[in-house]
Amino acid sequence: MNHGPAIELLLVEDNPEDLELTLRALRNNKLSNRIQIARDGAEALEFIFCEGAYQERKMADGPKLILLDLKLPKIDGLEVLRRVKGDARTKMIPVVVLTSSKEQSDVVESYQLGVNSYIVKPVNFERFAEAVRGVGLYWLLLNQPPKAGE
Amino acid sequence: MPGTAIPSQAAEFPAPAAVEAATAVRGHPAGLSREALRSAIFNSANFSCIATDANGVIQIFNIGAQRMLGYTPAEVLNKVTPAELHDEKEVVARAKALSLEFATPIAPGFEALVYKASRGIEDIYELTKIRKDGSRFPAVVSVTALRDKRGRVIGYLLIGTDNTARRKAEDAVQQLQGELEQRVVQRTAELEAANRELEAFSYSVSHDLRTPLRAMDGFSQAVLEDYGSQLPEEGRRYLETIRHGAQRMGTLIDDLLTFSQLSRQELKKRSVDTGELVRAALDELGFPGPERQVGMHIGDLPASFGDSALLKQVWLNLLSNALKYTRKVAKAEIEIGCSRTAGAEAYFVRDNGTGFDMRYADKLFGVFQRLHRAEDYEGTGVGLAIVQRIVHRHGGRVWADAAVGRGATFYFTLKKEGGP
Repeated sequence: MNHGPAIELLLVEDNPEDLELTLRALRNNKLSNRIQIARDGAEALEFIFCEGAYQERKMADGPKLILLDLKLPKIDGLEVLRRVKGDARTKMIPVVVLTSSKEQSDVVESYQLGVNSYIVKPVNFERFAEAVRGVGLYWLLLNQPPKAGE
Repeated sequence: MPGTAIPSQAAEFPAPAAVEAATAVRGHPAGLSREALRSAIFNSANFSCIATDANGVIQIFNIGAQRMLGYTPAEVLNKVTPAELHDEKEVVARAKALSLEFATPIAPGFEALVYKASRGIEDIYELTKIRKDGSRFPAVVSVTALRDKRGRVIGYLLIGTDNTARRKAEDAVQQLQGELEQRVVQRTAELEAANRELEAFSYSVSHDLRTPLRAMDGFSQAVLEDYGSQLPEEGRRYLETIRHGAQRMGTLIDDLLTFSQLSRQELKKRSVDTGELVRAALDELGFPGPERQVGMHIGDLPASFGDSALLKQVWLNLLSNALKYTRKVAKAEIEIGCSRTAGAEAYFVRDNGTGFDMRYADKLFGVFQRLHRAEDYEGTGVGLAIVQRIVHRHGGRVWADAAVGRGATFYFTLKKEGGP
């Protein structure tokens, strides 16, 4: 997956069960093409900025969308969001926070950092799958991003 | 105390050496007796009485001054000014302060002690005096300018009292106050730490407790979707039960979080249109809906003062209860209004639903307390606890009146704007 074609979706999730459920929801909705998974904030940043294990990769190869959990090992999701939105090369990539946290402070800080959507993961799987489907359809299919170089 | 023109005989205080003789005079005619009294006052040991000439050189130094300061009259009379018996730094500071106050240079010496008195201004101040042996003590000094019959200043009278005892008491008070403040600071810090801990706890509950529930629900669903056809009906029902349990626990966690957040959330109080609030709450509850016929009677609702989001939550919870517990009644009736009893305005929601036994009324507002079985009426038992907490935070009271099978009425009051 690392050096293949352009990556559509970067999924940053540390919990293996949530990861599997998210992938299942994406697959059920036929949104499972070209997904990259990062298990912590540090790995996510290496991938996004083509550093470390991902230095062979080109930033032009995506991702087109980042699904970001907030509570992550090493570097937390808010820091990942800060770095992505604070860098001219990546700030146009839509970032959707997908988290268990309903804390108002997390919501407010995410929006202050420029998050494109903030979604609280529902316990109910049907509603969770519906949320993932909505996010995928909207940001990957419906939304019109600016063309590269503009 | 304006500068006083003292009769000449008073100005001629007897020199200390003469005092002993004067006090010895007893049993003489009234004039002499008054003289003796005057001497006795002057020789009282509890205050120092120092008189100077117009230049500040000490002319009179009473027994009190001798005891307080440890000098004999011979060591000070015609030799020094009272300024030399004071803490020099304090005299300099006083001169500086007075120079500023009167916008004129005042010398850091005797002038600083008597400047105000020389201008006829009452002057009582506290300064540190220095004894002959170099030890110090706080003294309160009252200064008077002495004038002759034509009003010219001929000298100054400085009456001083030892302020040590009072100062000690003041120091003790100050120390206690300091300790008290220290304790307040410490308690506040402890409280803030406890609050942060609580926030971290509720954050953890919010995030970590939901994740395994999602796994339980999600993977049960995955089994049903992928292998449902291979399972007997009983097996599918068990999986649905697991999902139901996980979802219910999710709801419980959410309600508990809402409840705990109510305590830390800051109130944004303003005047609120209660009628509008009630209509918004009904709207949010999907009322009037297509599936049920409910007779809704909304009476006169005076404006309330409080946090509109939280007050709406109160109405939401009370109205959703009313709708819930009238579900099994053929002709549901709900009345919303405000009653004035004993001068207090109480908003109320009345229904003709299932009601409850007033014997259990004390349990009504407890967290997770329920008076009905879950299979009869769904719920987590947090709604009324939330209502009570919001009402209490608004300085109000909430109570209920009900009978089994004859409906329930919930009342609440709110503190008026600027009210007690």
